[in-house]
Amino acid sequence: MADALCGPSNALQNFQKHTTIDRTLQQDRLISRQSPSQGFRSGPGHNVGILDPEFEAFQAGHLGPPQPDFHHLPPHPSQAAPPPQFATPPPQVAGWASDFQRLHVSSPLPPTLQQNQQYRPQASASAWHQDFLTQQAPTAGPQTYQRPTRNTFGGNGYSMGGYAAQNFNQPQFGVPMHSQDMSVAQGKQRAQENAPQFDEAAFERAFEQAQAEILAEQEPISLHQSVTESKSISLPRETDPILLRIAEKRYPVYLSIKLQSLLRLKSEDALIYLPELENLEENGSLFNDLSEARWCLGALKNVLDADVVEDAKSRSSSLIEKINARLMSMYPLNALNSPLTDRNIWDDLKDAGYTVERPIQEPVQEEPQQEKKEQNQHHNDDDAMAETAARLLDSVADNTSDKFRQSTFLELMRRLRDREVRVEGDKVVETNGSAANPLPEAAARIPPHEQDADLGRSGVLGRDPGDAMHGREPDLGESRAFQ
Amino acid sequence: MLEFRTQGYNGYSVKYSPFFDSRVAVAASANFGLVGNGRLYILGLTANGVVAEKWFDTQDSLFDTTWSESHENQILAASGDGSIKLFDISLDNFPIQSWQEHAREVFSVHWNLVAKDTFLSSSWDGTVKIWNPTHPTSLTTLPTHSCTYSAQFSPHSPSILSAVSSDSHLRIFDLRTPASASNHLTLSIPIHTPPKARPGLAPPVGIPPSEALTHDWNKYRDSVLATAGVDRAIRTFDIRAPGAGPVAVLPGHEYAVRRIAWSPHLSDILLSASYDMTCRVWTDGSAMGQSKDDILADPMVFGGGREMGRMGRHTEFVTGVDWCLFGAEGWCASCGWDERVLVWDVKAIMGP
Repeated sequence: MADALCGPSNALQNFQKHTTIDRTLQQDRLISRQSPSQGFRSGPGHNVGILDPEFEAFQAGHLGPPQPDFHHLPPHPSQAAPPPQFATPPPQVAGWASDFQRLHVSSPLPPTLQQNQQYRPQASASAWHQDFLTQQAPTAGPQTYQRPTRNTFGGNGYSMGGYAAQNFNQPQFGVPMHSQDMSVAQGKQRAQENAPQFDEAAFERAFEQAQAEILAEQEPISLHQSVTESKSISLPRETDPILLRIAEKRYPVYLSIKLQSLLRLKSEDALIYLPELENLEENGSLFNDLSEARWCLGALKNVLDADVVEDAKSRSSSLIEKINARLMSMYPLNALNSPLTDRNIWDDLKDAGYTVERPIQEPVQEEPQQEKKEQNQHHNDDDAMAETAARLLDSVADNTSDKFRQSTFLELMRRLRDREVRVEGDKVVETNGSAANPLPEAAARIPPHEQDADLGRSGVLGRDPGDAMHGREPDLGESRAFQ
Repeated sequence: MLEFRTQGYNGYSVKYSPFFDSRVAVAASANFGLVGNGRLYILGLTANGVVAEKWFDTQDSLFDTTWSESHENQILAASGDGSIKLFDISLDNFPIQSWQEHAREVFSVHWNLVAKDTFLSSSWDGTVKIWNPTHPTSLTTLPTHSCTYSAQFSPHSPSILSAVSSDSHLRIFDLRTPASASNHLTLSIPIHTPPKARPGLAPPVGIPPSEALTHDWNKYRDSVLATAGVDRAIRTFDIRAPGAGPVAVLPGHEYAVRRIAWSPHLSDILLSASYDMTCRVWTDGSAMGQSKDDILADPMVFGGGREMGRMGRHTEFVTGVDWCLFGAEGWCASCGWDERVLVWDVKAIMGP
């Protein structure tokens, strides 16, 4: 108001100031600083713009030629009847699934999250491939072939990688095939531009030949041996299929488990796992996952308490210090203080078949990693929801009036707190899985295309229940009034 | 007392039509607005009770609604997905216009009562936006930098508007001021200011800030507003003396106050809806002579106001309340999370 009253009294000037300046768009910057977790549950993800071009390219058919090899595989004995530990090729499946996942426009999961979690499986996959290749084809620069193989056929499982590498080492099997494969690997657009001559017959021949060769050899190599071997030669070979699976997915956790269990058995062998953890610490792979690192810390602290030689104790205590220092520098303080997110690890352990009481071993059906991550997300949301509900109930706990005791809303809060119900998508469902709604809800789901044509709807498919919780939290927060 | 059940939907806001005495709109959300659909009910008050004349389903929860002041069939709804939708109740199913600019849930919409070609919206994204129904984008954005639960145009001026937000401030914007660094903000009154010291009483101690959830302009005294929120007290302020603290303080609700509305007929009467599951009628003490003894009886009360009656028929949090503009004064409607809309006469619950 002050600036309206002061200054030269030029009415027109003030009028012009008033009419010409509209800061609407500028002022949007004021609200753009919000953290992504505070978005709408139904809004488009923040990676929406990034992915669109890729999706467009995909739609427009900039796709490599159909990968011919998939159906050429006759049933391979070892594939037809896989040994139990074979049933789970997690790293390859994950890589393949993530390829598709990245094609999703407006994917609900931010890509960074994906990459973080993906890092480990891929690393182990490459380690495995490398190992396999050095065993199978020590000549002719395995590096060159190994990369494309992993990228393109990653989803196809170990056998493709093996075969392909073998094929390329055949002298009569020539250049066209090679360039073809490379181009597929190097990207879909490139593949189309180059349009290499693809000789199907030659490929067929070469393929059969390679296959015959392998069948002739037919020395089933224990893959998992190679996995663990590649990790560390010095460690004794792991025989337990459950631990093998853990070792594949979460190597540091595996080491910690072994360390702890052997300590409990008072076995001197326990200490051979210590140097391996030190190695991991040195090359940094221990810190890919905060909870993994903390898991290891727990195991190392056990070493301090255990009855072991003094040298081991000092080594583990120095290792603890190092890990702590690294964690401090790598993660923000609040992340360290936050409640331990061991649940991911436990989920993985459980998926691998590892439980404390060791139930009957049955082949575990591996779900796509993405699905699992969504579940984790649910868990976290449920936690936040239950916490909020508990806070709210606390604040009205002293109210004993009939109305409050019979309140449907407070009953819902109670059930949320006790995890009897949870929020899933845009519904409230019973935790036991049946999609029963506790409320007599007439939930009319309006198909997006029948809705009005506003842009906000485009994100409906990627509706993220996590945001839903955050989005509505301030409303529950009002009940802080009750305190 | 008339009753209507919004089966499966929990009411968030109720508004009487400014054109028809028998028409009421209710914005409601499934699952208490946590997740799920929203529904905008258009209710008719008939000789046979309250009937649903029409309803519109939306993908996301609805938190507020306001009737157009310029068109008797048009009504706005504030949605949880950040959009504002304009419905025409003579048409079916879909909004005739939708604006999507807010980055968070829109928590209030209000039509300008004087310049009837504009309306405003406020959102948790910390902004108030001014709109014209014929314009595809907002005309002006006013930042408040905190969750703005409620914003309103003054009923006395086309260009003055007010907003209360979670930072415990009442802000007054005047659109006639030049758009300078202050963004039309002319006043910012801390709601938690303690009232003036009174002779014979200990000076008031500091009051912690708390989220303000609702406010309303007095319909007769053009400089008086009432605010209420999480700290359970209703306060009135005179914007002519912004530094003087509240003119009246009306404590009494047991939990946060969700909505207040000044009477369109009496300058000192206001109605409140609260999370304590009651609606209460208050006088702010400005229109009656109060004996000094009454005031001194309760040190919390300030300004001579008092509660005049309460309505406890709702069985869940009461979230919306509105006065009927027509007919015998005192009729009002309330809605709550018990899925009920009640239409009742305030005179019936008022004490002697």
